Amino acid sequence: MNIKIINQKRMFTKLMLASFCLALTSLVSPIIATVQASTFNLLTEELPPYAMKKGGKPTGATVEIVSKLFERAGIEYNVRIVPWKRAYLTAEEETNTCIFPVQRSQEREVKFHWVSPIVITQTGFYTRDDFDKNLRTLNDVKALKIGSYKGSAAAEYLHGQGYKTALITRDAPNIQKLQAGRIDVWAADTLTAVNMMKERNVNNVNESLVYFTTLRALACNLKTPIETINKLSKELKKMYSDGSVKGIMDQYK
Amino acid sequence: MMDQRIVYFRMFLPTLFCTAIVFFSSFSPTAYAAMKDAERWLQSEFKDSTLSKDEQMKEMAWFIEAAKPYKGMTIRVVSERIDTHWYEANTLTKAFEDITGIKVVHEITGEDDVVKKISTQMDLEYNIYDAYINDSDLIGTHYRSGKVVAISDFIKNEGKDVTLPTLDLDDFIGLSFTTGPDGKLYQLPDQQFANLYWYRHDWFSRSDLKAKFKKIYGYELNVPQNWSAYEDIAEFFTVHVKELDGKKVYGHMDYGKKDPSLGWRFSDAWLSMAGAGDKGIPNGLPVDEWGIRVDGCVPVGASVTRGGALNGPASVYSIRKFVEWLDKYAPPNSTAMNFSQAGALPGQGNIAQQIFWYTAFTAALTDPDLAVTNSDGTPKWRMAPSPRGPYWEKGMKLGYQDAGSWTFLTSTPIDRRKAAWLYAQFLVSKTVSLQKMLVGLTPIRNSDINSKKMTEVAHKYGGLIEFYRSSARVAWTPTGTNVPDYPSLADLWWKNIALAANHKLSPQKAMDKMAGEMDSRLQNVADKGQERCAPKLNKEREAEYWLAQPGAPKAKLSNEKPQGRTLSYEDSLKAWD
Repeated sequence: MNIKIINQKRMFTKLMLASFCLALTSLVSPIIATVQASTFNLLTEELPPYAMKKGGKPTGATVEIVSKLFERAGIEYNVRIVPWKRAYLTAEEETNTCIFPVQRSQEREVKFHWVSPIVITQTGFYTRDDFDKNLRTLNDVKALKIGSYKGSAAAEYLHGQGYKTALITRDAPNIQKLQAGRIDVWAADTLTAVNMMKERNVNNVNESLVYFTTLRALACNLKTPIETINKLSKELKKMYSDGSVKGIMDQYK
Repeated sequence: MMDQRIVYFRMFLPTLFCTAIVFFSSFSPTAYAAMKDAERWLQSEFKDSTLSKDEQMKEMAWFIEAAKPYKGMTIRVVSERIDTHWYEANTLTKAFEDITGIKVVHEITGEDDVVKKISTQMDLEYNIYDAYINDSDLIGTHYRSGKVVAISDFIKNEGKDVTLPTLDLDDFIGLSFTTGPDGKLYQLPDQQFANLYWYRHDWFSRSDLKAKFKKIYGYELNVPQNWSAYEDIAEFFTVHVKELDGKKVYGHMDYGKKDPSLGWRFSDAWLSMAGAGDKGIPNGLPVDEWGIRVDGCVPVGASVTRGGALNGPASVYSIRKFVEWLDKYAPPNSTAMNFSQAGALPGQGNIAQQIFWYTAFTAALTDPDLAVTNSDGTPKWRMAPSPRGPYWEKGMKLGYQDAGSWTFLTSTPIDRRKAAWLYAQFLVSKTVSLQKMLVGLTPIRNSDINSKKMTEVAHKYGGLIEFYRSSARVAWTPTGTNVPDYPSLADLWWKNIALAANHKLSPQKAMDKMAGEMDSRLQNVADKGQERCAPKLNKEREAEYWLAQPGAPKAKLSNEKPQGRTLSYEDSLKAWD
């Protein structure tokens, strides 16, 4: 009997303990979830000098701008460099995830909340020293062989206007293609192009025409509270007016 | 005739030669070279002008002189993607640079991107472009922002030395669209196009179809004057005619995909075509075609309960008809199409009419390879003033006119703004504007519309010139000054109309939801603050109170389908006299 009672008591104590643990877990888990939820995953792709790894850590112009923005807004964040497609899909599907720098378009508009512009970029045409045509308008390259790389804003824009381009998977080999005369014109982001040419000591390629300006944004998952988006947008505006964005960009020019 | 011209030419040759010698000898060597360039451009590109050659040369001489301080500068402007702007970006930039020495990069992109860029520059006060060609739909935003240069002030003050003496502002047809409630001019139209009724004139002229229509509906198959007739004709082709020359035909074309482009026709003119707003040109006052009521220049609400008309009976009727026609009379899958996908269909030759068609596509629809064009390149179709809904009354605006207009921001440094202003004026100058109209068919000047040249070519353009010469034109206007912040409010249209188009909400519920959201957004605009005339919402009261007042919001009509009425093409234009 006593043993039974003792066992019952033990059983009762065990049950109570289990219930207490369960209750505690259910109380604590939202706190854990909140802590986790308040940390934003900020995804970007490797695209020097906008984003690259240095000593295993993400750095670059847009990485610095976005990091400073979240720090100033007092929001926890992690920056990760991953392939673009994966970054895009993750930001579409997972809460507290954003992707940068993204060009806003009508098709993309409905898929994200936007903080814009993280950076204002330009695309231009690059030609060899001995190129004898004066490129004055977009139309002047229509009959030429234009090189760019798959998924680039430069290629996307030109395709949208009905231009044919020779696309490769990476941008850097376009410099060699241009030097070897396999393409007449290289269409590239102006900052990336200068960076690539500097790294490779290229001095026989020139900027011929800067033909398009793009606003690039931070695109956040639709479940991101609108208050967070407004807070970030407000802070970004301050970063433009106090010269912080310009200061960061100047380091990479 | 040709011989006579040669004789005249020979007679005047010595005079021309002497004039040229005197003209060029008064310039420095650099200016002389620029004048030679101007001469070359006049001969090769700007042959059609309402100015004489001598007047054109004088205009160019002024540009050369005024541009001197800015020579060697590169300026950057942006505009939307239509033929007129491509012509400017690819050809007119070169002419301007050759003549003035100012290089212009004229970027082309979607209008949504133009709006984002100008909003960003206004918001950040950070110079991205030196000038924008931005739809005048933003006039309410620009006027209230305090960040847009009032052109009428600029040309009297800091821009006086760079303002073309022959600009002739009175000759522009769209200045009322770009003038703020304070009477100041904030934008200068660069190109204009309208939304009109489009129909297959060849089918409407067929005696067999005319007889069949009359037998069923009791009146003539012709240009519909009201929505009842449009609906009857839509039903006639889709349900009764069904096939023509072995091809399935439809009496209506539209689109309903949840996409920003779905919003355009609604924010442009759908509600005004039904007659939802008040009387007033260019826009209804106190309630406009967005259903927004103003008190003076202050927006006070869009919901009927605040005195607006966005969810009033006329608006709900217009959305109900949009959904009904799309379901019953448009080709299958139209509901899943966006603007670009739907735009291609009329050219394929199986659409009989379209109530809302942008004239910017005139050139594209006169391609001789299309099924809707005759072998001599003349169109089988015509455009005419659009039919009116049952709530529409004389004195109201009817359709939409897009007026892409030069817009200058206070955040652009003054020297860059002045150089950009020179480029803007070059593009609308009388030397250039007629040729630009011939290329893009987007008129801005009365003198061009009424020119002899346009009379010669009018038959090629399916009624475009006739429309612009008619009195109907004044009832086609852009979004006006009641809309205090276009970029912050515009997305509500497509997001809510899509709910009705895809049967997720009834038209009444979709418009109730939208009106509530519009009021909230107006409050947000007020909270954010505007330089002048910021919204201040009316307190809510019973809808019945407002519906009983004269004007918009209008009470529900007992009969929303009066007798259908049609007129011949010619009479449809005269009906506006």
